[in-house]
Amino acid sequence: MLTLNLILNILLLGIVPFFWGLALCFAVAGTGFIAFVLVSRKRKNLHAAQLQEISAKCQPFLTELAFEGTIPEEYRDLEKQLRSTNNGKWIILNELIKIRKYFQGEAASYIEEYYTKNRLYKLSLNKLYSTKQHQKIVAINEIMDMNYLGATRSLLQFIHKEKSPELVSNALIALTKLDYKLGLNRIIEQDIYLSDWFQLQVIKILDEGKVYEIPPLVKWTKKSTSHALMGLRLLIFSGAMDQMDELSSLLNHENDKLRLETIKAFRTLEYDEISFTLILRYYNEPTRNKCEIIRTLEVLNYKQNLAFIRLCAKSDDSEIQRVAKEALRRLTPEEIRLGVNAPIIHLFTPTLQRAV
Amino acid sequence: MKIYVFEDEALLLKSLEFRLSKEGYDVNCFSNGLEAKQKLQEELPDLIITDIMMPFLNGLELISFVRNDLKSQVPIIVLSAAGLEKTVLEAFNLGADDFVSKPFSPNELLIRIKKMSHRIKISVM
Repeated sequence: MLTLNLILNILLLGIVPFFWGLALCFAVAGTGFIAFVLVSRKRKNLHAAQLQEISAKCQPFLTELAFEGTIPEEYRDLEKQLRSTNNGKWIILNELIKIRKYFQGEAASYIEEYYTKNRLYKLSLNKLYSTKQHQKIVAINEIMDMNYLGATRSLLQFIHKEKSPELVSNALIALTKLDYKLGLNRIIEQDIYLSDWFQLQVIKILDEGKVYEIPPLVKWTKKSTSHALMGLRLLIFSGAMDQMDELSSLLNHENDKLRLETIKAFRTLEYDEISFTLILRYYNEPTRNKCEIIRTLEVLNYKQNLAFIRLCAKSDDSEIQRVAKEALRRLTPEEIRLGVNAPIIHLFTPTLQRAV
Repeated sequence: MKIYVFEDEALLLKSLEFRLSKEGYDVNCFSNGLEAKQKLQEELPDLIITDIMMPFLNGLELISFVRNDLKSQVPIIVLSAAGLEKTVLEAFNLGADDFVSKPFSPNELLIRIKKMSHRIKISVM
């Protein structure tokens, strides 16, 4: 009994100080952590304030640069001083990028010239090789915004090595902006899914640069469905009417969406000769594509289309019926007169009539 | 000639102030719509350059305020991002006189301002 009491006492006496000690350690560590957070936050705020101050100093001479093409005498020392440190260069680059976004024409050229002449592109290229993904994106955007033609080789290397499809897509867009021929050819070669967003960005760049010389559709269709879709969209964008055979062959593609876009392409390009092929294809298409064929036939100038659309208006499928009726409502009396007289109906085989 | 510039992007506002002042215009800059409204109630300029997207009171509301509340015909140039065609049309419907899309060429903006000032001079004569 005595021994048991002794053991309990030792245990209790040992445990209680242990918990007190632990609590004390936590309190000290907690206080230290809070102090660290407060100090680093204060330092960060101070750093941000300093950056803001230096940025504000940059703005007058960068504004002068944008409008006049040169930095006035009174700012030259400050500019030189800023450019002599890495931090200063970063700040100039940031402000330069901001100001570049507002302007085009002469002002934009002055800013781009300054970026190249003062080798600020080196900062952008360094970021391109950073391990952080967001830094790489910043680098690509800077190169693109500054239209730095010297970066094409670095971008090609980056595209070759980079694993992230998002970053590769961005680099491809930048490459196309700098050198559209190189960019488009690289896109064709690249094993990557070309998203709608990506395609839109590339077309936007080509449109801004008034570039209508596009690699032939056959090159795009060979690669992948998304490449074929992009080739198709580029064909519409460039308005090239000399590749209709290649375009027609896409009507046999296994991908529903691609066939849908092909039908739309014929409508946009107003390629009347495709009407009968579309009527024949109708039978094998899903409802969505059937509706698109009706909308396209409505637009194409082929008088026999009307008879077909009228047949579609009697379809059992309510969606097809709705689209066909809408199409008929939009046709002018003159179009209807020509269509009514068109001797097309006998050309429809019984199977085709059933399909409608 | 007195010009009011309403733009919420500080760097662009400073750039415009710098450039227009250098051309000899008397420039007043405002970074939010409410500030702009207050100033307009006090005094009308000879020309207004305004962005569409502004805090508190947007460019469209500002144009409407000038045309409908102040009943002023002071020329208004809208300076806004491209791709806002619908908004730009609305601005014209409300009474804007001209539109310059961002990014813009400062020289082009100056030409438009000069054209406007010429119109103002003729109407005064």
